[in-house]
Amino acid sequence: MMRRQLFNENSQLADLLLANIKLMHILPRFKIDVGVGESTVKQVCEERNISIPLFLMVCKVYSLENYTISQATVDSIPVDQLLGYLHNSHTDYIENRVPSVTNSIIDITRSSYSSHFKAFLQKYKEDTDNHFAYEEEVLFPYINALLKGEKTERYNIKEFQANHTNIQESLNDLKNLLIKYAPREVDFEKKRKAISELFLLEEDLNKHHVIEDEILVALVSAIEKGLR
Amino acid sequence: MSVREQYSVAIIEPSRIVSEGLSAILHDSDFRVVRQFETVDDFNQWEAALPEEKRVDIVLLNPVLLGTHPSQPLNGLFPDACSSLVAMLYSYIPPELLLEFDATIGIDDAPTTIIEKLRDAVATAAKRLDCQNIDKQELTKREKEILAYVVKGLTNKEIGEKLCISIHTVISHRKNIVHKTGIKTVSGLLMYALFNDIVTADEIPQE
Repeated sequence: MMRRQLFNENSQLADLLLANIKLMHILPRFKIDVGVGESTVKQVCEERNISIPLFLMVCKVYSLENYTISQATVDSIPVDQLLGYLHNSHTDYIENRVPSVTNSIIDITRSSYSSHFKAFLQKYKEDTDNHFAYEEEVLFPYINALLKGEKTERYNIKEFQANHTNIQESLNDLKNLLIKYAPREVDFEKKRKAISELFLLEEDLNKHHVIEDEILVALVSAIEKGLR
Repeated sequence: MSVREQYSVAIIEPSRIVSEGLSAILHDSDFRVVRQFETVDDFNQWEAALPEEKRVDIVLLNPVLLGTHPSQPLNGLFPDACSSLVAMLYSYIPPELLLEFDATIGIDDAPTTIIEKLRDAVATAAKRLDCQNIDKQELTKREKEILAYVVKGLTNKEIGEKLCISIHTVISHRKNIVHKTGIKTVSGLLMYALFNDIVTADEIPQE
């Protein structure tokens, strides 16, 4: 288990990555590259105008089991930067992660079933795109308007909470099917790649949901109530 | 030193003296008390946040905390059927309140008796898990029939009419199919049906 103390602004960014390689996935969403030498979290964030509490919070969500986010942490996070991070995450899923997983799966599916598998994956891609598009086109503009002080009666964060669909269900079915029925004649390496990527993507999406459901919702409710 | 499998235990007991005492008794055994709670709510809150594989093996509960209502569904309180539920008694509790517990330990029990009873409770829970796994086995002929119609795009009503059964029965079969296969989406079930030769690719309407 990772030590909580590691997630500190004076820690070296490299040490965080050495402790949890899954943090590689969040770097591009903050426009951080690897190869930053001995720089600390503070240095890296300040150079790029990234909110340090936001960066550390995301690192902790991705690294610590049962991490409960304190009210003080929530209060310290700038909403605009959080939105930027979530937007970059969506782009990353749509442009990189989801296509990469679906391509690996197409790579291993039997030719006779491949059109159906393709149909399944196509549907999955569409569901994912719609899921993110809803947030990008309905939720985020609403929050941006709210930040500018514009109030609307037509939408609020509770509606988002109620409609936040679970796109992990199909991922879970895919995992289940591939582990049980992946064709024997296909090279094991290809199967290993596809199934591992699938697990990583699912885990990543779960964390992404934690950030949206717990942090974003709390921040936006506070703004709605006029507390921020 | 040999590696021994340890069972994790959570205690839900309002008296600190009793829970500390139990922890001390279990200290050198193969049972390890991971957490003590004073109320069921505290326990539920803690457990809800845990991933499934981290759930405790045994929940030791003072039934007094459940109130006196015999119909209170314990399974609702402890949704995880993989854990054993053990009652801890030091006052009279009507036997009908203890039906859902896997074992009971009393305040007068010797430490060795307590440990033995806990071992039995673990064995009972393991048997229960086996039963669940048996449930998870292959689909029945009827379920395969229904699955084939589902993936061909028929509605519950249409399936009911074809097989001369009520919609209710169709829904209940569909629930069993989801439970047995672990697959929830219709497109996932389609893949399942193809892999298991329940339908062939040319029977499926292409979009």
